[in-house]
Formats: sequence, C-alpha cells, structure tokens
Amino acid sequence: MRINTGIENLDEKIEGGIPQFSSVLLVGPPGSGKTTFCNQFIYKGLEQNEAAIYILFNAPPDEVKRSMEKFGWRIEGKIIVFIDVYSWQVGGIEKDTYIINNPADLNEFNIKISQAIKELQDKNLKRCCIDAISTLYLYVPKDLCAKFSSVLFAKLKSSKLTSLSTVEKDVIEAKDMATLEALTDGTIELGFDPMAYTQRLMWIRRLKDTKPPLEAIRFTITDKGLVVEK
Amino acid sequence: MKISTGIQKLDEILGGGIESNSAVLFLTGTLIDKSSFSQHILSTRILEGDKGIYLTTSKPPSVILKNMYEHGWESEGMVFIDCISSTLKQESDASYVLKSLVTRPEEAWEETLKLLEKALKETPGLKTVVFDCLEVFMGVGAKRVANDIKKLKNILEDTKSTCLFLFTDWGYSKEELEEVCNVMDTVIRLDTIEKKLLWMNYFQYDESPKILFQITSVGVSIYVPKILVTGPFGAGKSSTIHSLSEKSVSIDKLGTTIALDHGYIEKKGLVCDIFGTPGQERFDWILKILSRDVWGVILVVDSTKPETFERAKEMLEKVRGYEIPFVVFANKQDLPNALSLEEIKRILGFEDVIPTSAIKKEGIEEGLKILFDKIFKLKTI
Repeated sequence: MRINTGIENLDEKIEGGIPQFSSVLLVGPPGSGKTTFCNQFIYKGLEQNEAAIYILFNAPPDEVKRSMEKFGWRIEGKIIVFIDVYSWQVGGIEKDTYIINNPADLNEFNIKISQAIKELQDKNLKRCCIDAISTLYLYVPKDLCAKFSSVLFAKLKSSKLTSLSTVEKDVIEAKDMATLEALTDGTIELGFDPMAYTQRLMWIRRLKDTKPPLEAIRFTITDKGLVVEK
Repeated sequence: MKISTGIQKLDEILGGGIESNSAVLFLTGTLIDKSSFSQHILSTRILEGDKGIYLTTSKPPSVILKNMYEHGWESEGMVFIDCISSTLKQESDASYVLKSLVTRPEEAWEETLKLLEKALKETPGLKTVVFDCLEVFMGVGAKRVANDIKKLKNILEDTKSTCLFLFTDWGYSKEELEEVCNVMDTVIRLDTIEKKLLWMNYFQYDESPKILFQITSVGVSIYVPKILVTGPFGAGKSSTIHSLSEKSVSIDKLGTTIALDHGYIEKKGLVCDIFGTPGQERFDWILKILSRDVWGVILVVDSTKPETFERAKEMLEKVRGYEIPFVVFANKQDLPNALSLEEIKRILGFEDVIPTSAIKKEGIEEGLKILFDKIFKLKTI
C-alpha cells in the first residue's frame, strides 16, 4: 500500500506514493519547499477524508492555515490536530490546539502526541508531519534527541501513521543526520540546481521498498503547490 | 533514617519512606509526568522542614512553581538550579544558572554538577533535591554519569541532602540502565500500563505490587479502577454510590436502576471509579459483563429483609465476588425493624459485614476503608 503525496507527477515516479507506515525525512535549505511539501501532503489526506496530525515547531497553526489557503487548500471541517511547539516563544494561545509550553520537556511532548493519536485513532488517522524535527536539536542534547526520535518514529509506525519530518540542513550536524536516517525509512532532499539557481530540484535519496529515480527530479512551485515535471 | 514521601502507599512499600541523605532514582516510562510526581514529594519534604532544591533541564522555574501552586504544593524557599532557560533564550532569576545545555555534553554535565555541589554547600540545613532530569546528560556515557554520582553521594551525605534523580528510559541498553541504577541507593519504577486505550500509571519498588496512581488536582493519588456495588433489588445500591461519591450518574427509571450507576470517589490520597449493578434478575446478564477487571465488590443488603439474603449471595457469585476482596454493607440500619449485625453475619455466613445507612451516610466510609485495606493486601497486577 502507498500513501499518495498529492504532488502532481511525483507519485508515478515512486511507485504510487510513500510506502504506508513509513517515516520519511524531508531535507533541504530554507525556502526549498519543505513546508509546502508537508502542507500538500497533509491536505491530500484531509481531502480524502483521512485525519492528520501536524506538529509545528516553526510557525503557529494559524499561519500554516493561511499559507495553505493561498493554494486553495481549505481545511475547515477536516479532521486535523495541530501540536503547537512554536507559540511558547510568543505566549500565544490558540484554540483547538495541543500546545507544548516547554519544547525541551520530552515527556510532555510524548504525552501530548499520544493523546492526539488516541483522539484520532478511530477517525481514519493516516498522516503526520513534523516541521521541523531539527528544531528540537536547539533545546535538547543531541543524544537525547536521537533517543526521543527513535521512540517517536516507532510510535508513529505502530499507530499506522505515514509521516514526513522536515530537517533544516544547517541546524544539525552530519553525524546527527546519519542517526536520523538510520531511524527512518526514506530521505527526500529538496534544493536548487547549482548551475541554474532558479531551477528547483528534488532527489529521492532513499525510500523503503521503492526503486527511486536516480537523477534529480525537476519541480516548480505553482498555485497548485509543488508540481513535478513529467 | 527513613523520611516520608507524602505518598502513603509509596512509604509503605519502601518500609517507611526513603532513606535520608541518599540517592534515589525514579526510573520512569515515557508517558509519565515524572516532574509532578517528584514535586509532590518535594513539597512534603519542604512542609516537614527540609530546604527544597530543584535542578531543571526541561522547563523554566516559573513553570515548575506554577504547577506546584496549582496542585496546592508547598514551594516556600525553593532554590533553583536552572539548566534550561539560557538554552531557551529566556531570562532566569534562579540562584544557579547553566550557560548552555546543548553545546558540548561533557561541559554541560561538569558545569551542572559544579552548580549542584555549590547549591548543596551553600544551602543550610536538611535538604531534598529533585534532579529533573538525569537522562539529559547520558550523552557523556552511562559509566561517566554513574562514576560522578558515586562522588556526588559523599557530598549528599556531608551536606545532609537527599537527592531524587528522575530518569526517563527512552530506550537505553540494559547495561547503561544497570550502570545508573547500581550507583543509586533506591530505585523506584514509575511506568504506565496500557489497557483498552487507557493508560494507567503505577509505581513499584523492588518486587512490590504495582500500585496504580493518578495525579489529580490535589496531588498523587492511589487509583482503584473498578469497584462494583451489587445487591438485591431495593437494597440501596444507588443511594450507597451517591453517598460515596461527589459526582455520580444514575441511569434510572422511576427510582430503580435499569442499566448502571457510576460514581467517582476522590478522597485524600485516593481516587476510585465505582459502578453499580441493577438488582432485578432479568438483568443478571449484565452482572457478568460488569464483573470484568473488578478490584473489589461491595455487596449491599437490606437489613430489614433477610429473605433477600440468598439472592444477595447469588449475585455475589455472579460477579465472581468470592474470588476478589469484598465487603457486605448491611444497609438501612436506621430502620427500627433492621436485623442486628450479628444476626446478619450468621445468616450470610460472612465476617466483613459493616452496618450502614446510605440515606444517613453512616458506616459508608468505614466500610470502604475496610474494602481498600483488603484490596491492597492482596492486589498485584
């Protein structure tokens, strides 16, 4: 079984989508399209009447909703839980949200995620995004980040969730990136063509049960979100 | 010397409390609010005259103080070793502040130990320390952590300090855990059991039974998930539940329960979910369903109607009450034609019969206490 990404022409290149129950890293520099990729992935699920969990480190839920609306992805009435690990910095409180007040408190984080999974368990919960898991490394020692990520990915898998976790390339060291890769089922890298900087590129570095295309995939960001060239 | 944790059941399984001037490890699962658990203990120690020292690596002191205040826990004069605020880029007015938790693990560990040692030496009198939490420093290796704690134990002894180390097991190896556990004087486990999508917290020391608990608005409370109240039609089961419980719901029709009653007891240090059964024979099929996972049974009989006692015994049988702790409430003792306690005991053939009046709320609490004592004497999960 595959989970479609909602990105035009991408699913065809990866045998129909991301293998279900897998955890995939989305790596790239700022502005490379990671967040839009996540938004699109989440919306595709919601559109198909699936439920989703969206864990936000870098923006509050309202901002994410607004940027989704720009692409015409309206999520009112859809079943989604935002876990807000951003607003603690500004003291903002939003309704319908699980707020994490202490980003370094992994117990609290783990309990809230488990509660969210429990809440949506019988509501066709299929997808989860974490944007960006690398932010955790700013507040928690690396060794513990790795331990926690391992518990987290195992929990997502056992809860039958297919997840995307974004990684800001400059925030974590190569060694820690390697650890994260060992805990996950795939890595998709987003970036730009070094020869023509306006050309966006995507590399499927590895993906479980999939023969990924070897060459870089060219894509653009249009008013329909990410669109991969045929 | 043993000192109390303020959690009666925990003191009991520890043989009177935790050893003073020692190192205690709370080894916890990933779904436990270990901070709150330790704050309850710390507040008890402060009330008994200790100075409280709180080392935090995951939330700023203000958050800890707020949580303690909301639970009504004493935090007077608490000294903070703040290892997180600077990492979160927040101001800290704590007495001891760590510069950064995340840059170099060795440096963070050494600095933290230095701050703790300083706090221990500079704070006068008997002290209880919460070290929240130790696994943050596992990046330096379990051996290193264990060795340094061994050294720290001398300082604990010298400065008359008891240290509660909190440690969540995020999947460490058996060897790593053993290193850390072996250096401690006492290791208490806090974990969760998942059952039908519900998590139940428990604590356990050594080979003791697993004691379930919840952290409620008043603190750590022992949790009894299911007590069943049964008995013949009209014996006063619903009234008994109502008088036991603040919040109770009865699904009834003209004053007689047709489905079930539910109540919730929250007494000092104890919370309990309590379920009633209907008394009529045509609903006996429900008894079997309700009897699953029951911890104890209260059999309510009408003291004025000995002719219903056979039916009462039949119901006890049907909820498998003979296999688990049970007590009999000889209800309606306030009525003039009530049989005497001795007579009721003789007819039923049971010893634990408590005279009660649900209407006048008499004998109910005493009876419940007897049942809980029986449960905790026997119950292991």
